[in-house]
Amino acid sequence: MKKLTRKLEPHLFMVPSYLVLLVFMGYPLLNCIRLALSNYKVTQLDNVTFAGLDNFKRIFADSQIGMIAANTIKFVLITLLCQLVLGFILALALKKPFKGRGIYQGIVFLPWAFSGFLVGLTFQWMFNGEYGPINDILLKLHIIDEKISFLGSPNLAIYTVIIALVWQGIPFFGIMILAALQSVPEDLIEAAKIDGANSIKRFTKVTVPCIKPTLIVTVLLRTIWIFNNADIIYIMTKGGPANSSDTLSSYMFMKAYSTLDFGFASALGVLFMLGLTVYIIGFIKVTKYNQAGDHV
Amino acid sequence: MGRKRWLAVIFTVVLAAQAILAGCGNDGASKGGKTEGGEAKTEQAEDGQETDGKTEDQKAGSTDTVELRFHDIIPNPAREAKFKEMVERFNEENPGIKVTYESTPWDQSHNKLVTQGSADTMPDAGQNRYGFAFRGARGGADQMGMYLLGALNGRLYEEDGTCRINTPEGLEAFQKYCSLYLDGYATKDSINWGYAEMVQGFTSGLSGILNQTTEVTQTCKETMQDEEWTVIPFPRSADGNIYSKADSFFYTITKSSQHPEEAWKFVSFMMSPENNMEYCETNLYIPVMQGAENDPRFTEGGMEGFVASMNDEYFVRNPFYGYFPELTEFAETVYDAELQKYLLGQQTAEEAVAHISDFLTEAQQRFMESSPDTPLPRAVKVDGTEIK
Repeated sequence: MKKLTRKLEPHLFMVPSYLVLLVFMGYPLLNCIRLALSNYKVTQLDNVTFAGLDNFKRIFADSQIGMIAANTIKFVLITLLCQLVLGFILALALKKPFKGRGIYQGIVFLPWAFSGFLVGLTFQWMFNGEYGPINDILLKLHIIDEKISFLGSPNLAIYTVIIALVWQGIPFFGIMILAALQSVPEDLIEAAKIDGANSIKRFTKVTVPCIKPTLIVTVLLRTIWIFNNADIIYIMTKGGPANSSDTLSSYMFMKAYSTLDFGFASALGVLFMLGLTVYIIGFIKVTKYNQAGDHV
Repeated sequence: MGRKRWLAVIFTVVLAAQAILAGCGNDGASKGGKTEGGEAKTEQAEDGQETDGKTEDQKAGSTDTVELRFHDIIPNPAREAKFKEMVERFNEENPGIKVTYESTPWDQSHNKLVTQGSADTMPDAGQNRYGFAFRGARGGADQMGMYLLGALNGRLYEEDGTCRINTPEGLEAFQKYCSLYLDGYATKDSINWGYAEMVQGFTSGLSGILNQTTEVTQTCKETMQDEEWTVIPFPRSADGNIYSKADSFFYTITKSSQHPEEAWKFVSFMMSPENNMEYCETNLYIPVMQGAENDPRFTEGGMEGFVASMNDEYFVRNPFYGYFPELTEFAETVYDAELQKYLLGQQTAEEAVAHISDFLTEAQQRFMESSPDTPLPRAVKVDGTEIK
């Protein structure tokens, strides 16, 4: 009996978080699955029926979905890579103390505090094809001869969104990596120095392995966040022109809130969840997250 | 006389929307959470909560105050303040009924806020100036529709529900309208323009002409000099008619309302001539009441252009694209995707017109099967006759 109580005790303390998870994750999740299996359109609430896998079939039959899926991969990879590299550089630059570092740090981390809505509006404005500052600067530097309609071009629109998102996401990587860098023991680096390791070796063999757990978690989180990001796309381009800047996530959002087809959108949401789960499991396996950092 | 009577029937508001008036239970404590939690009445009925509500209503007795929920689906600050003021007045006059105002911020109204907010900060236009504020993205079907209907002489559908956009006249009109963009009369960016962008394009001086509804006059007044802008009556089509819009807002009492009589009383209050005038003044709408066309509140400051259109002998009120449930899908995603593909050269005009037309035909014919009593969406002349 005592044993059982002891076993249950931790769960008792966890009850509040279980409840929160149940209400805010469990219920929406089940509801999403229910919607995905029904013919649920907000405009036809008097005609909601069980649809089986129809919504999923419609997703795979959608003429735009192939291009949008390819867009999504491009969108996630480029954004993530740029954020990681630039965030790393930022963290390295801020590692050594210099005069005014505190203020500088405060300013460069600011984008992370902005809402996606604000970032979207700002970048939409900067990329404006008529009086956006980016066109103006490119013209004055004689890089281009005439104004470019960034947001109106099917080839360029998605990159404007990527740039906005990269800008917003760099500080997150910066903060995380900087914190990790500061916890790398100085004596390890000193020891490597004495052993004759040059600065590149010290970086790849000492620093990076030490911060690997942080890198993995950050990359994992960011991948999910970038994948799920719809607000900046919605505000800047609404996925257009002709779906060229849509990702699966923004497409889902449009299907839910413009087309009001909750069944289709929920089915897409369920597919996201499955896809991301597979990705996370695979990622953790490949990067050996559980053993990361141990061998140092 | 005919014209005046006609004016009395039609509201002049373009973005169709409705205020939902939902009656709800009268004892907040025991079931308030339930009814207030459910956004749409239909949803409640589906979950069987409606019956719960009714039972508890009966328990609560009839001496208590009746509570009504008044739901505004396109709120904005000015509108909300006016509605709340009117609701308060109603509550004071009717001690047995308590109406609460609530709202859902929808994208359209949100866009309007952003537009009004950012219009002030727009710089003067650069060297480029364009003729037309082209709406290439969401909601553009509204503007294009006015032009297409002119070419189709007001007839959007055949009697069997076949859409007439895919006809030689429809195709020609589609191409001509799109040439505004393709021939450089509109900025390249406008392929992605929705409401906010096109209004900004106009107030900043980038585009010379804007086809929009009455509430934009407020933004113009706030951001432009008086001599910089004006409203002119909508242009005539080749057949001499003015094909434009004159849509109305609605008050709706849900079928599942538990207090339909009190709700009706509230709607009657809101629709009384004085209250309706006040509401229209706040929202820049043209009231249905006779005499409004002589009231300076509705005939000055840009409004005269709208009134002149509506009072024209040859004014034709365009129909909606339909009453079918796919209307939002059409206006928000199908139409602009097809249009944009044509503007980008990814498909021909023939293909775009066929896709748009087929979508409407299918939706309309399906709707005709399920609702055989609902008439076809038809254009209406000033004397009230429908164009068939």
